[in-house]
Amino acid sequence: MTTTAPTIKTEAKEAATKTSATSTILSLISHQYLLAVVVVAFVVVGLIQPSFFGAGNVQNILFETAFVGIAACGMVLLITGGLLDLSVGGVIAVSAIAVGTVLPYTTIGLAILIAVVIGAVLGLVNGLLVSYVKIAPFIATLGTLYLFLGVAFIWTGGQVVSVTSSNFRALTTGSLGVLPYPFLTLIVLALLTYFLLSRTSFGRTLRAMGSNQRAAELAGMHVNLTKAIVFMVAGACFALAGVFLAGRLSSAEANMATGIEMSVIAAVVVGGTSLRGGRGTVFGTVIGAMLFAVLSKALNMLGVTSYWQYIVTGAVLVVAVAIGARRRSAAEVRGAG
Amino acid sequence: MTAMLAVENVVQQYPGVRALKGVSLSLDEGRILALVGENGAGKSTLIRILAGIEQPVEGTLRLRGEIRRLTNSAESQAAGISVVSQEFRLVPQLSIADNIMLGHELRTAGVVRARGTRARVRELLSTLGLDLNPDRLVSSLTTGDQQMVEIARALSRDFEVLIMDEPTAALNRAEIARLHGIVRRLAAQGKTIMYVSHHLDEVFDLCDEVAVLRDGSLVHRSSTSELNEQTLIEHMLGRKPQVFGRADGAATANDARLVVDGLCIGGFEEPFSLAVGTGEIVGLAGLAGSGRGELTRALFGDRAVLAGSISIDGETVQVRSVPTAIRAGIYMLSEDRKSEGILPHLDVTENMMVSRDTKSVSWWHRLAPSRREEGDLFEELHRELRIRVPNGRHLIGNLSGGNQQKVLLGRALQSGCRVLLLNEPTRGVDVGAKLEIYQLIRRLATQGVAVIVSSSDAPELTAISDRCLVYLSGRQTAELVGSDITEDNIVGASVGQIAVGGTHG
Repeated sequence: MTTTAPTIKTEAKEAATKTSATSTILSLISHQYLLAVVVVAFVVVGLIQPSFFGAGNVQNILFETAFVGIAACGMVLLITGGLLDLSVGGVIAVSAIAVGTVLPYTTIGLAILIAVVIGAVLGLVNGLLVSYVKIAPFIATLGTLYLFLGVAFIWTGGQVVSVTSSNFRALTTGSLGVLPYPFLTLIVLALLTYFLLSRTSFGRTLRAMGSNQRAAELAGMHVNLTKAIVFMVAGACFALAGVFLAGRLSSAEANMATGIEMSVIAAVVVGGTSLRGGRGTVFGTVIGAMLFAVLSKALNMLGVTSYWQYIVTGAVLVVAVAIGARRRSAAEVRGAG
Repeated sequence: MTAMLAVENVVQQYPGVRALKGVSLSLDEGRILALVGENGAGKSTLIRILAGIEQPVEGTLRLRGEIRRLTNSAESQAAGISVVSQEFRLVPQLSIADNIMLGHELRTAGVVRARGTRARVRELLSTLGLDLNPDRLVSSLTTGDQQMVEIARALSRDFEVLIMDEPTAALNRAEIARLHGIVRRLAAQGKTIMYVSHHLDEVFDLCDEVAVLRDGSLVHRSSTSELNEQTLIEHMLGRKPQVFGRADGAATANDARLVVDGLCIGGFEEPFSLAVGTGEIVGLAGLAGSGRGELTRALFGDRAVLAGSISIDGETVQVRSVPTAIRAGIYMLSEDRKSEGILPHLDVTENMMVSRDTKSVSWWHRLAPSRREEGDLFEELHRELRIRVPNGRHLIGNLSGGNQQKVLLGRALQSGCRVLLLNEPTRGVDVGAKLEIYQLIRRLATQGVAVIVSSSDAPELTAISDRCLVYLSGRQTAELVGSDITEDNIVGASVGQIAVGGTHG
């Protein structure tokens, strides 16, 4: 308490005198520790294994960050609203297969649009189950995960759908300098998500819902509608991740993204968003996605065997969340359940 | 004689607030000390420090003269300090017995002794005069009973010091009297008691001494016999209190703003009918089960209406849901600020704007509210409602009850309502803020809002209502107007004694 008190004081003083821009920057800085961890890990591994700094490897890391990060933009909205979606892998599979199937017959733009719309529709299914049928998000989306995977398997007959369009591949795997298009997409999407969450009425309703759903209802907020919409937005994000993944793999199949929901949720949580809802950090989410991408590439390059990779990844997840919990408990939200 | 419990120069800080500025206070054995002060004066902080929930930045704590550090609530309990907290710390999914013995279960080799527990709990409940089955789930209890269970829980431990933070806020008269008896008996047994209350009559009735906190400092301490209510309020406020004078007869209902006709609500046999005029404040009184709370909820679209009609300014309105009610010009504040009012993760500005009537706002700002415009609006209300908060970006959870309530009243104002339903508007609110809230409600009424105040606090109803309706089990037993609105009449009618017209004996 004694050590934290002065910093808290100056923070409050600054917030009082300066505008909201300052407080935005301050909240960014308070998440910098995770960014520092990512940078340090990157540099240290690079010093041990110089090929880690190679353009190809950096691009690989950014690709991986983008796939998880794009999906995590949708997830951070859900989690802030006190919701959760486990059907990420299913939505990605269905939308990627849709892209692979329609590509030979239509333009790239339309194919991507179709995939995103399918993602939104699948999200709507989740949203309706949660808001109007009133099934807990965890269970509802666990169920739909299997449903969507089933649809994907039946659609393809268990076969791999190959994505042959070279233009599509160029669009989804190309890059501007060292920055791959998917990563640039992530940056834009993250900015949009930030704006949506912190500056719009929709985002406010979402945060209010995650903070105290009953109070949000009594304030006349359209809680059920917001739930349905946020699941749709998240579904569209997942589908977009699926589109890029299909390009990267130049194929789509039902089990192309099984288990990705856990990476996505981990990125959100490590980034500093509490699963209890009420508050979410988009910046932290992107850094969280980057942390796991750096980690997995680093472990591969350092020749850590896959069994031990599980141990390290799990330990990083637990430690990062524990540190985050400690830091936040100082500035705990009083009156929150 | 060394004091049983003493704090010396205790300082506590929160972000941007110095909650305690060096408070020294000692509690003597067998004495009941009242701790009073406005909300935000530091009472709750001091209690949390004694309960081991928070550690002070500076200062020491002595127990029987020995310096102790209480780093968590288990240590505080082990040191013999038992706390009845203002907010319930009960687990709704567990039974009464399990809740009471939570953390110090009667065990044999790790297994809870169910029969022993039940017997012990039954004994405890009967000393509190409670006839409840120990196996009942806490979630099925009324607020008053939950409060009694909370008290039973504190008494179930071995303790030397008992700290009670507004234990009577949710209790009725009979329960309060019983509780006072128990507290007196404990003091006579040599226990040390610290009693926090906003009800000054309680302070004078029950406590030997009184300590007053104001803005984080101890400003007064004396025995209660040296004070009267007036001087005590002056100590709390640091100034002479403003007197809230009722504008008698000023607001005679000429045109009925809200007319409720034959409203049937599930669980009540008789339909509710009432009318509230423009600028009128109508009080609703009644004990638990009277239906007054349910009535406000039904009017706000939060509870199903089976039959009947509601009209505002002569137009019939349908309140199928909360949003439709708000659109029709009705707004309600719940009696439970914490779980049905505040949005703890949002700042005070956002908390005030969530129900805003956006008819006059451009479509873009409806989708993405302008921070500047909302900030200006907040500043305006901040001054007008005298909310004690340094700036609009403060989280609402860190404010005192009175200030939270003012923010919520601001929220209601922003909804542009024509009918305002208030449930227990000053529960957990201190004397100073209480008067300010009464003035606010009156000002709203003079601006033409029809106000309904549902309250269990009879003095409150006598202070602010132009007309008072008293209910018993869903039936209106009295309609009191003007000088007939007295505490005696309200209390009498809420138990079914019809005594209108000053014939009450």
